[in-house]
Amino acid sequence: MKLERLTCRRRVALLCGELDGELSPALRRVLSAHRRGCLPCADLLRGLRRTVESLRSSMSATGPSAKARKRLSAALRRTL
Amino acid sequence: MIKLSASGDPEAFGRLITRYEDRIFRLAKSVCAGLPSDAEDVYQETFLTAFKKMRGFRADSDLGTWLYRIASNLCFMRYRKKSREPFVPLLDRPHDHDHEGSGRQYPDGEPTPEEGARKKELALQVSRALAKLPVDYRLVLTLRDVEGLSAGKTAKALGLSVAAVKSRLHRGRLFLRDEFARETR
Repeated sequence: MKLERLTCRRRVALLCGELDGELSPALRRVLSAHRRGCLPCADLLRGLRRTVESLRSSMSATGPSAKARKRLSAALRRTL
Repeated sequence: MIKLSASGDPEAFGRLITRYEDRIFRLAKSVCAGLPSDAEDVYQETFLTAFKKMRGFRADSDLGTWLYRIASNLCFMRYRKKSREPFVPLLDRPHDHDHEGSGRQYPDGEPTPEEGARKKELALQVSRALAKLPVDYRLVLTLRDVEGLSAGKTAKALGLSVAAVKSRLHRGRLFLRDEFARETR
């Protein structure tokens, strides 16, 4: 497969597939070899990976406040 | 727990809330980017709706996915008519990624004395970027990248095809990448 000939949409889909562990080993090897010689694709994958990491870590410790929990309990009691 | 909850047992439903509330709140907070009171409303409405509809829950379904579906519908209803949600088609600019992104600085994740402030800033940055996306993109990104659901479960929770989930996911990630790069320039 000639990755240089792929559309941007297809390239992003492939790199996201790589990120999500959805590619076959053979395709991963092709993509990995391509990235070694293609700075934009290597940079794009790095950027996408960091984007996902940023999303994940910005939300990792989020939970409802005690006030929100209390409000939910009161609302549930009213529905009983 | 599901059977007891469906029969209206408040203690069983309380245990169900404890098991799922962090996940539902994270989804609500992420989708209601920057609006904590909206997130709390979605969190509350999700469990109230679940409590009322629990009898109709099919035992062979996945409870988490069902709750995500309720929360996603509530988010969608809340935001589909709110704000203009400007959105530029992301993948119709074929060579964008050839020129953007190199040289931008990302947090390296090493613990420093400023870690708390950095995390807060990161959360704000993510909220600002998410708020620029349409609600269905925010839902897909959150379910896939924050909650870690598979594409199939995300599709089920949102009533979309797997192909539609992937398309929104890829566009959404690319949009956020560009937004983060813009902010750090």
